[in-house]
Amino acid sequence: MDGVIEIITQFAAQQPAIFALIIGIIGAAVLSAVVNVGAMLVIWADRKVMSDFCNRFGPNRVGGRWGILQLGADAIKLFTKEDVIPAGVDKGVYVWAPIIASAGTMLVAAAIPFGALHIGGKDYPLVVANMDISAFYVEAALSIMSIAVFMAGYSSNNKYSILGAFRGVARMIAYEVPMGVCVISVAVMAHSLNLVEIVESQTVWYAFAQPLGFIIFIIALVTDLGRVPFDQSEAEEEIICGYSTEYSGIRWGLLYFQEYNNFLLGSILMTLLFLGGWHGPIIPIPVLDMVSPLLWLVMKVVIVIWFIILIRAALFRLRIDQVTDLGWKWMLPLSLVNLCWAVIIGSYFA
Amino acid sequence: MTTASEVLSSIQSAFPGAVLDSRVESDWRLWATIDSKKILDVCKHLTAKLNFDHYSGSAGLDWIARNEMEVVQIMASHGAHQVVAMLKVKTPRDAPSVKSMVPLYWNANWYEREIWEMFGINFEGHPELYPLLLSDPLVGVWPWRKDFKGYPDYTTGERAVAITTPEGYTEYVFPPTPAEVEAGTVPVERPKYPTFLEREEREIKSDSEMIMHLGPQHAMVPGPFLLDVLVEGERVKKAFLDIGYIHKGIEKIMENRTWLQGITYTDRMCYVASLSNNECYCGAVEKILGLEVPQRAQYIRVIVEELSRIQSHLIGTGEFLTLIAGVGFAPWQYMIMDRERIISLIESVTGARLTHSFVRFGGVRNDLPDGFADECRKHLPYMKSRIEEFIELFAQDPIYHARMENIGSISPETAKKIGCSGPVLRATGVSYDMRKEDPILVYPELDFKVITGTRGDSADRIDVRLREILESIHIIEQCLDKIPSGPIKTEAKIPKKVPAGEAYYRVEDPRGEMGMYVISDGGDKPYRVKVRGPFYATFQTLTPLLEGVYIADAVAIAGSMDGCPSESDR
Amino acid sequence: MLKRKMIKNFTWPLKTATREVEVTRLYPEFMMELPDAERGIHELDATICIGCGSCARICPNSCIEMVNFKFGSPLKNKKMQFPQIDYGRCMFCGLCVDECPVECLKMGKKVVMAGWNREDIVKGPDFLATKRFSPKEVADLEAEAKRIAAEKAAAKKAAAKEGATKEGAAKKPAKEGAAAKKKENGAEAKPKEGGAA
Repeated sequence: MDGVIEIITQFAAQQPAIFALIIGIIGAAVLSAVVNVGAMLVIWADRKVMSDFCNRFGPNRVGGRWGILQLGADAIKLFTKEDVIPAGVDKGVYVWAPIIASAGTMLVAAAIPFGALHIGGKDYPLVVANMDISAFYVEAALSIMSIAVFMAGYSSNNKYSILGAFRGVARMIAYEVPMGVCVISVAVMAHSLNLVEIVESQTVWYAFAQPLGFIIFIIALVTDLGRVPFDQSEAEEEIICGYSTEYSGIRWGLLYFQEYNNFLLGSILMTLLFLGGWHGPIIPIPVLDMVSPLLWLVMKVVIVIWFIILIRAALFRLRIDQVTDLGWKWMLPLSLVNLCWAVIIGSYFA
Repeated sequence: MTTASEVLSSIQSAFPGAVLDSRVESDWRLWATIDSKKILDVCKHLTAKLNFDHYSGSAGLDWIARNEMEVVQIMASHGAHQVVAMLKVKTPRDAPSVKSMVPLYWNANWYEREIWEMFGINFEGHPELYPLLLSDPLVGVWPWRKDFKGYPDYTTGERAVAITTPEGYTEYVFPPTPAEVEAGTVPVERPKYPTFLEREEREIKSDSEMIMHLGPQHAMVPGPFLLDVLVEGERVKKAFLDIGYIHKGIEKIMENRTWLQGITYTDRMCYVASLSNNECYCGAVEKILGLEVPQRAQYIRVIVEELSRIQSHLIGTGEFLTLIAGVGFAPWQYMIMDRERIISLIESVTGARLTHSFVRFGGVRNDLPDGFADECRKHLPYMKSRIEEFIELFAQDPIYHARMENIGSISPETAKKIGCSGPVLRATGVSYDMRKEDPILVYPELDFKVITGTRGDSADRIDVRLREILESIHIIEQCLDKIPSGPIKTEAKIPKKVPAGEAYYRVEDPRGEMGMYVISDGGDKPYRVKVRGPFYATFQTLTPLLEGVYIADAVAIAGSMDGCPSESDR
Repeated sequence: MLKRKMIKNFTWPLKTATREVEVTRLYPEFMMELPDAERGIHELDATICIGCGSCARICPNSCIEMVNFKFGSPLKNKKMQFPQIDYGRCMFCGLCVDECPVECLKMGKKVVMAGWNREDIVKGPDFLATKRFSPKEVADLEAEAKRIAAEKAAAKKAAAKEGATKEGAAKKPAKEGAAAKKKENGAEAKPKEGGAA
């Protein structure tokens, strides 16, 4: 054991660049594994929780009574399908759209803290790139998915896809601004754009300190993720599959998967910004006290995901002109009001 | 109160010599053969003076033995009186041609197109005499004529010849054999008209417009139909409609099946509410035979038909909810869940969940099982509370109102003009229900209201359907209280050969007014069965209704009509 | 505005999530209960069937064909023909059950059937029969039938002889008697013929 550490430290000293590269590659693999497995669990939760609300079973064959491995079976099926690229598509854009979607997700995952380890009275955040502007960066990187949606729809040479792409862009433009303003309001109160510091400064959860901002952020997040009631870009009944109509096999699987990846990361972002992140009483049991902030974060994220799935089961879908109406006429002014409130309260209680 | 004989005398006094033959079947049925030159004037007179503002439909007949063809116009009234006038117009078989009713009645359009493509009767003055149910290669063979030998057998491919169509596809057609040419059964000249694609494309005016297909495969209504919309951005400029994708030729098949076998074919027309179709057919045949249905059988018929109405409305509304909410929407799955109870009740009586074939001439097939009344009384209050929860859910949802209110509004005058019936008509405020207009079975003894709406938009249509379910529950409860014991089939022997005669019988299908015109020539098979489906009339209205709305609204409007293309295509 | 709050949208799914699953079943382990009136796969009582073919005539899709099989009663079903149903065409309308004059064809609660090709789901009387005679019983009944036929033939011969001897004494009344006896025998034989045809 000691000999191995000796060799590694020697290698790090002699070849720092290559060592950093290797560490980076291993880290990226671990991170993408963690995030993608998390997304698989989110898809499973989507189907299972939805079926609970609809009084039916959901996946219940693959992987036991709870159907946990259903996603594995779906992934195997998608991998083994024939790779079809339709004749009239713009090949470069068509092929790169799912890849851009995955890249966007990984960019987000690099800067989001996934919790903390409580060692010796101090919280050590689990984050890959602890950037000073991580809140803003994460919120912007979440919208790379919308670019991928537009690329997919635009290149597909299909009337349904183009409508889906236009709707996706309209919705994204309308809701990025309120979302960004809400993030800024939180940062104003926390005096920092670093997500770790935002969490650490939440003695009172910002959901209670800025209730208007919280509500606007929930709505904007659901819109950004493209979930009901804002999923016009993929409304099944009108435009078949929307932007992903011409995709099949693993290309479609990637687009679908990244949607849920964004779902997971967006929920983590919301928890960090408004629900106190990993704050919570430390569990006094010896090993669990080390990971208890992590467990608190997981619990809060689960509740947020569950609530967003409930929104899907409960609400009707809006029409695209009603979505843009809501965004520009209501959400933007209200988010600016919230910003003023945050500035006043933040500077008053500084 | 206008009666049939009054109508007849009014026509005879206004147009002496126009009525060539007449028969007053009852106070409410008039059969008259009108001179083909005066038919338009007679119809104008009926509409203007005698309140016959409901053009119900028209049927084509081929009397090959008399070497003539007939077109029967069915005229009724939207509530002013209850007379139904069946006006026949004869035309020679060699070159059949009749004056078109379209200048007078807007909704005669599709009925005449169908008669033209099936019988070959030309309608003078029809603005768009194009094929409706048949595809373009089949026009000209006039399939429903009595001497039609059948379509060529495409499976053998022996005589097929490959041609290239104007669109660039390869098609296989059969050139006529010398024997066919000699026998004169080959239409030598096919009529010329622009194809559907050409009619669509001549409407495209600019580069920013495109034609989008909302069908034939879609989730709007349970059945395929072709809805193309010309969109600019998200707005629909024009809609194009074509049906016939599920045309099974049931009317022609029933001419080759005995009377009893025909009951199973009426099931397949509207499979969601097949009991009303059974009832319509059996009622018409019972009228020809003069059969009396025992009281208990009448009550059983009313009970299962009202149960069928409940489940048809539930699935109609539920499927529609997926259009505006996505498939994950919970309340539509609750509707399907509740519908399961009703279907189980019907299954315990008839034995099948979907295509029942339950009603027989002079009675019903099975008796109610033991404990049926208790089962019903257990489930019906639960259904009532659930429906009231659904109504409350839609009333308090602002997104529902944003999506549904003032979408697809129809005014009462327009609704009457276009000939729709059922919840679509009642939502506009017109109180027109076959159960009150043309009461059959034991409906006169039951106490129920006719549900109407106020605005005629999509939200009202859904609301009318849900409240009709409550009324149906009320009707069933009354029937369960009043049902007597007794035989379930008539004692009289039903002959294998039904004596010559004709009858037109109307019922209230969940989708509206359904009528069947059955003609017997004394044989063991019907001579002609004409089905006047409720959704056929409402379907026509989709094209003008969809102009100027968003695509999302177009889907919502088409879905809120709760249609059954299977029934309009037959 | 205040009365449109969307609260029921959220509370109703939450209430449902706490309830047991009502209509979805973990098929095929749990099958739904079917009522007695259910129109499933046919059940034939071969002991009663008279082989008249009414079911074959009434079937709207021509699914039923009468085929030969040997497990019925020769007294009732002379030709020993029983229905064979093609389930690829059957629509389970139940007209064949209604038309059967002796009520030997019924529809049961079995609703599952699968096969690898079309011939597999053409089910002959062997599959459909729930009650049948064993080969020994069939043999017994055949013997019984032969005996009855022999008796009838003997009775006919005796009657013919009687008629011949009485002929000399009184032609007309004897002839009438013979004719009456022949008619009687004819009438006796007719229901048997009608039953077996």
